[in-house]
Amino acid sequence: MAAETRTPTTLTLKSNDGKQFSVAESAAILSVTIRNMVEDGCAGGVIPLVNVDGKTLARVITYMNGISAIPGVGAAADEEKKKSYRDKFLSDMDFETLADMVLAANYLNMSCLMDAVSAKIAQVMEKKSVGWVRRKFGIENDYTPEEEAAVKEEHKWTFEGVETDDDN
Amino acid sequence: MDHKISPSPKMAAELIAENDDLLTGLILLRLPEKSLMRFKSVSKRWQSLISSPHFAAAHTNHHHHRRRRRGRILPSFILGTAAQPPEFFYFNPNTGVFLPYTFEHPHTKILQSSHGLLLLECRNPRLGFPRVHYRVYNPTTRKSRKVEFDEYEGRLAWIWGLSLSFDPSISPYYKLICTRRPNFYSTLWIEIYHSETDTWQHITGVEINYTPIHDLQYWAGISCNDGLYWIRPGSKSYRFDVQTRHLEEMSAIKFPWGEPDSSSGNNNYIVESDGNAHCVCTYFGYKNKYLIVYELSPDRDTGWVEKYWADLNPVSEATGLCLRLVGIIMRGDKEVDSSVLLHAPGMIIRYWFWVKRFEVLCNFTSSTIYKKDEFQFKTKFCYQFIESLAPV
Repeated sequence: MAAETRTPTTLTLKSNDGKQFSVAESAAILSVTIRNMVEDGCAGGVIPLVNVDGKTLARVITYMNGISAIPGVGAAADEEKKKSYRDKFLSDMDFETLADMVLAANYLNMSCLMDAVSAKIAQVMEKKSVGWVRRKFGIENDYTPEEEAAVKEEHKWTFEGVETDDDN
Repeated sequence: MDHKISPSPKMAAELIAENDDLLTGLILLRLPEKSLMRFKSVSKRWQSLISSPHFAAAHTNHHHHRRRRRGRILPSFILGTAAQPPEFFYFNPNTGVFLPYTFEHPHTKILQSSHGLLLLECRNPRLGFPRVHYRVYNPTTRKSRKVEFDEYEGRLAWIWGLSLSFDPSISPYYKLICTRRPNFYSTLWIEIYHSETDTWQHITGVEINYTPIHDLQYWAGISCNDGLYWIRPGSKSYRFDVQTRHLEEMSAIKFPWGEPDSSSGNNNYIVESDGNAHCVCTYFGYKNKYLIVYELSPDRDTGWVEKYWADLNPVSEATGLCLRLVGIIMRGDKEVDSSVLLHAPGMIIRYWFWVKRFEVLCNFTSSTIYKKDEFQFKTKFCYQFIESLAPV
């Protein structure tokens, strides 16, 4: 963050479903998208975020405040604390919330958050079944039974240790 | 990335799935190889995305940092039996999973394993010409590419050796190093195949003293960080730097217990693990069984260092008299995990050097290949299977 000579500013962020939130500019500019909008002169008014809904934006703002509140001691200590914060922040999110977060972090161009959420999603998905993936991502199976059996046979070893399909 | 919000809002995961860039960048790129191969069954589109060479290279690049800090995940192995032709099995020391593994070509022999790619020799079972051909194979994706050599004066010059040089921490593309002699009177040539450009580079000016024919066998090289090693204990060993194309002779391995001599049940094996070359000497006599691991120091002035000395008598007493080496697992970052995989008839055992304890990881006495008091697998047919999407 560059040193600023003007007094700390608050920004108003608006989600795509009309909710408005106040955030300190120093926290909000963790998002490169928001930083660019501020530099383009939106600081005065309300910053519209068309690809984030209110529920997700509220979470993102909690994250922004949390991360920017971590005092910077040394670069390494800083990173450890930030990583710890991110892990805790994501720890009790279900898959649907994680998906919302990763899309939001991508749109808002927040690379550290995006990497952390992506990694968490990969961790959640790693041992899931093919059926689980289709359900969660809304994908239709376009294989014929024979085609599907052939692909599975080719990679038989990858089906060991997969979590059994249940309806949640 | 502008998509309109639809009247009935779609779940974020569905939105991601509809956009190839988002799906690849946010989700697929982060998944481990095993999950990706399984998810090829999700739909034809997922299969196409996951199988694309572009994605394979991007994934290999993205994950190479992970390989250096593998944590507690051990590589898997492909084990080959002594049958003719050999049968293969996939073995995962983390989970104990033991499954048959088949190559596309029935008469396949593994020549080398390098960080996720295998170099295979495929024999033509019918008498015909050519008798063998070579393939670079990725056992995770099951894709392979046949090695095509350049001809000289209308025919294939004598091939003395072929090695694979592949290190995903440097590049997702591999190289093949082939040593040939165009005719009886010439000195050795070294040729390098670059998979990135699908071309061969011929080097005829390599400084190497002309040595008698029987001493030149440049097969089964080991690809480590800084080059390709051809190590023959008890004979000359060489290191080839693929970047500078410089060939040098290496220091000999000093065996404090006398050089293993296969006529008395002792052997030495050269393997790569954790980025370094190792020589494993097994002394498996009737009464005493022990094993020494030498590591080639990255600092080449130091040469070979004795790293572990393992007394395996407790293992053979508990499991039966006979032991054979399957492979080693060296962990520079977590020494306590460094161990050796051993084979006794019907089982695979892991022995930890540091704590001197062992565990039977897999018991396959109920498998069709098991025969009492006989080894099922040959050491020279056992290779590391590292999961990778590296393109061939």
